[in-house]
Amino acid sequence: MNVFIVENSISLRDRLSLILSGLAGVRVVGHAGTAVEAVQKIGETAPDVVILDIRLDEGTGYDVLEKIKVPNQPPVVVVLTNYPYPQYRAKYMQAGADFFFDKSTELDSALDVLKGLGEKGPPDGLS
Amino acid sequence: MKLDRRLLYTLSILGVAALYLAAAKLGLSLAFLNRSATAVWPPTGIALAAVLVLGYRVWPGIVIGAFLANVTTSGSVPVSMAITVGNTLEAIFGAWLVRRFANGRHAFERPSDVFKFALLAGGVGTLVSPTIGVTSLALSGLASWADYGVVWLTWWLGDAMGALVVTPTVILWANQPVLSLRGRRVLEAVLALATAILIAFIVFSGVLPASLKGLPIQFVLFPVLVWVAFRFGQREVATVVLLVSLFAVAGTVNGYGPFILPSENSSLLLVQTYMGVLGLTGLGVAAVVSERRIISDALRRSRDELEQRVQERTRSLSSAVEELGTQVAERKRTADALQRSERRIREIIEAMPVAVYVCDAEGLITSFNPSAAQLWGREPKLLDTQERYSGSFKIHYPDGREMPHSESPMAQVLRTGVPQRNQEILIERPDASRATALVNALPLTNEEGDLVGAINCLIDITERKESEEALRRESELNETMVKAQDSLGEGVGIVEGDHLVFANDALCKIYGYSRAELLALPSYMDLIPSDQRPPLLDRHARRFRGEIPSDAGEATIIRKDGRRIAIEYAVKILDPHDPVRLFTIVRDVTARRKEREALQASEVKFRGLLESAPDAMVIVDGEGMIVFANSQTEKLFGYERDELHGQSVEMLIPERFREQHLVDRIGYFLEPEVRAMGAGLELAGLRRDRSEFPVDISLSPLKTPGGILVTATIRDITERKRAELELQTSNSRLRELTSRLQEVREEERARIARELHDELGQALTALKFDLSTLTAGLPESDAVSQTRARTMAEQIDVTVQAVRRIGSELRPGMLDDLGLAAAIEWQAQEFAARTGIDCRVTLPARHVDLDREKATAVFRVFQETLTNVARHSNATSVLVCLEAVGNDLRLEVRDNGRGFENAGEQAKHSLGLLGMKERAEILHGSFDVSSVIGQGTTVRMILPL
Repeated sequence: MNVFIVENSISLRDRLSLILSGLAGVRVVGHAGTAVEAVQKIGETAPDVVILDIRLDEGTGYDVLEKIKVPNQPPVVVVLTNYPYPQYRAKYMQAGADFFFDKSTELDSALDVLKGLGEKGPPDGLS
Repeated sequence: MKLDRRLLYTLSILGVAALYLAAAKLGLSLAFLNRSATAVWPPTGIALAAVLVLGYRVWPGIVIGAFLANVTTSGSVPVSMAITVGNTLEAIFGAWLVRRFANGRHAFERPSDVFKFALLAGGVGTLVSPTIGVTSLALSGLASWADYGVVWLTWWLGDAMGALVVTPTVILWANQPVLSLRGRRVLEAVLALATAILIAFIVFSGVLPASLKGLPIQFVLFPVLVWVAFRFGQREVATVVLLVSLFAVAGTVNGYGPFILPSENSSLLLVQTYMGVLGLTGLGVAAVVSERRIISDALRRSRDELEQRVQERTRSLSSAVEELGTQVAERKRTADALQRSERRIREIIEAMPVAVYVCDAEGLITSFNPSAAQLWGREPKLLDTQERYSGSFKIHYPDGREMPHSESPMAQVLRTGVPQRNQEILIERPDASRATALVNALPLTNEEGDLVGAINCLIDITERKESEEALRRESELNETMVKAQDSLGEGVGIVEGDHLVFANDALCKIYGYSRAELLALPSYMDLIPSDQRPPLLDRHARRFRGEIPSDAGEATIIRKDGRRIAIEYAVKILDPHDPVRLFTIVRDVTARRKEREALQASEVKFRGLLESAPDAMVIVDGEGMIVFANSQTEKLFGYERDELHGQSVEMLIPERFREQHLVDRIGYFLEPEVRAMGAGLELAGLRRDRSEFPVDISLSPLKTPGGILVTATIRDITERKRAELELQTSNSRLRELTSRLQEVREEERARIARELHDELGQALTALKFDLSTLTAGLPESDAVSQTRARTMAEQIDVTVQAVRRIGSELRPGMLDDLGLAAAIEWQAQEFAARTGIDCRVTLPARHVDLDREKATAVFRVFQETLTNVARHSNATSVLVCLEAVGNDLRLEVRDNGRGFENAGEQAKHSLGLLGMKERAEILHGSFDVSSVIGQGTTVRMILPL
């Protein structure tokens, strides 16, 4: 299962990459710190899952979400953010995000989702 | 007869003209200096004599003669006409002088008249012709102005000599045309004349041997003249003087005689002087002699009469015998006398101003005078059988009925033979005009007493009638006036000396006396307070001297009851020849005076009030004219009060406003009320120096007896305007500053919030990740480490929450990321969660695009409002509504708390509310709070999108 990480903080990105790589069947195929870079690389790598932060160095997670949630096998989007307010959740879920977790307190929930995805196979069975 | 007279008149005019022309030609043959100004001018004498003898009406003769003489001399018609006028006027003027002052054509009978004649006719009368003549010559260029004096003198002397030498001769011969000398007297006359002529000839002809030339033998003529004067008379003297003058002039002109000087003109002037002396002396002496002769004749006659009376007594007996014989002669003389007297009477009647006509016994008109023709307005034919009794066109009785001619007074006289006296009739003339006449018809009888006709004298009394009528009407008018004055309360009185002799009812009422008492007062000065008498007495004295024909004034009088009242009076002298009779009108003006004083006092107060007003006040009448302006107005506008009074109020207004002001002003007078002028408009005043200044004006109508006036109170608001502007500027600066401060604060907060969130939050998250990795590596058995790790994780979570809360409180990232609606919703949820107060939010259906500044402002106001609700309201629920209406964004927050009083006032003083209001106003929006005790508070904010 290929995972792409969109996260502007390098230290967090590295840690997240390390943690995800430790999961069975998970391969981190790339990462990006800005919206533009993220959209481009996601296009190239066609990951199964995208871990998406809201606040980026340039642009927001929303900009990325709008571009990547297109028909024909869109990736599963897991929003992982330090802005875990219902207003953000509503907006991202409406725009096509699949999961929405608090980066600080719900990492375990996010990992559980990824584990589940790995076991269940292709993501389109979800949603 | 009339034709004869006319013919005679024409002949006399032609005669005068011919004589004048002949004399003129004679005179002009002696002209040297100027052809028109001759040294000797006999025509003047002819003309003067003609007027004196024949009367002023011969003037056309002079005009004809003079014009012919002059036009044939100068050749210029205009100049001749001018000179002719001079000549004619001179004759008339001279004749008038002589008639007026020197006994006319009898001027030579008394020495004093002779000298007056010489002075007036010779010296004064003759000023006319030279002045007019020489001026016209000079004007036409026929004589030069430089010679004016000399020519004038020559002319004048020439005329003077003509008057002195020629006039007496002509007049005296005219007075006494027949020379009645007999016997030796003829011889003596011839001798005297011959002597005079001989001497004149010798003196002025140059026959004298050269050795004798220069001897003053011309004086020998004086004794001759005295001889003629003593022995004959004025007529003869005048004749001799004329003859000698002819010789003298002719001789001198030909260069002979003792008066030869280098200049011919001067010679002639000298001769003239000689002639003058000669004439004056001769005539003077002759007059003295004549006078003396008359006196001595009278003496002789009275002596003779005495003698005769004695003789008559003695002769009376014998005369009785002759009486029969003489009676025949007597009767003839009487008949002659009768004839003469009849003629004289006829002449008198002709000239009488009274209309007179005579009818024969049949009533046929036999004669009438010009006055009758004038009265009738026509001239009836004499003895016309169609016209009996009267020559009138129509006659009427005084009451206007027509009177047949057969009923006329004349007809009655002829019927009855009884005279009719002073019968009044109306005469109608053919031109319909009427005259009133008094008829006096008298029968005429012959010696046998038979009625042969009647004479009628008609006196035209039209004018008298008219003036009588006017007088009657005037007296009626006067009576009516006195009555009218009575009913008006105007006293009318007549004063004679110091007595009232007439008083109407009103006068009695004013003075409080009965008429009898009033007229019985010893002096009406008793009615005047004693302290006021002296000036009045003085005035009276002057009136009685006729110095004040009429005057009027005010005075105080004492009534019978002792009350003093003010009166107004007018006094007029009734008859200027009798100035002690005065007509006086008196009016009680006590009430009026009191009224006036009260009015004056109130006016003084009113003026004082206006003057003390701190503002400029202008009172304007219905025509827009300034009737009053106080001193503040002078100061404010820079005009003197006199320059304002009576001027149009528009002068105080800049020109561009004047037209509108005129319209508004007229409108105001139609509906006057107290109000400010031009509500909401900028008003300006115009100073005398044309500078303008802003003003506030309030208007109030002032009802006066003379109509509505408007008081305009004008205040210079330059200072206020300036302060307002300053305040406005300072306010807007403060606002800018506030706005800037808020902006800076927001930015700062946003930056700190971001840093907290990103830096601190990320770091904590990293810690959490690491802890999570570490925990995953811990053996399940190490429960202690497991528990510690969990505690650490919980601690980190609490810290993360705290960091997020602090950041959001500083500035919620949501406001920037998700917009105002989301931020409001979040904030409401947060509020509800924190306080437990139910908070429902209604958000706009569509997305509202709002800039950051406005979003921040609304959000911060919302936050603060919620804080207030939590702190003060005790509310249990809050309704929040954010909506976009038209171009406005509205936020309404309504709680169900206890509310507070006077929300409007509080909003002005509570700093929190002020701050919110300020935020709204900086963004051109509005903020308000309303609250009802027990029903909660509502806060509204509106911003333009």
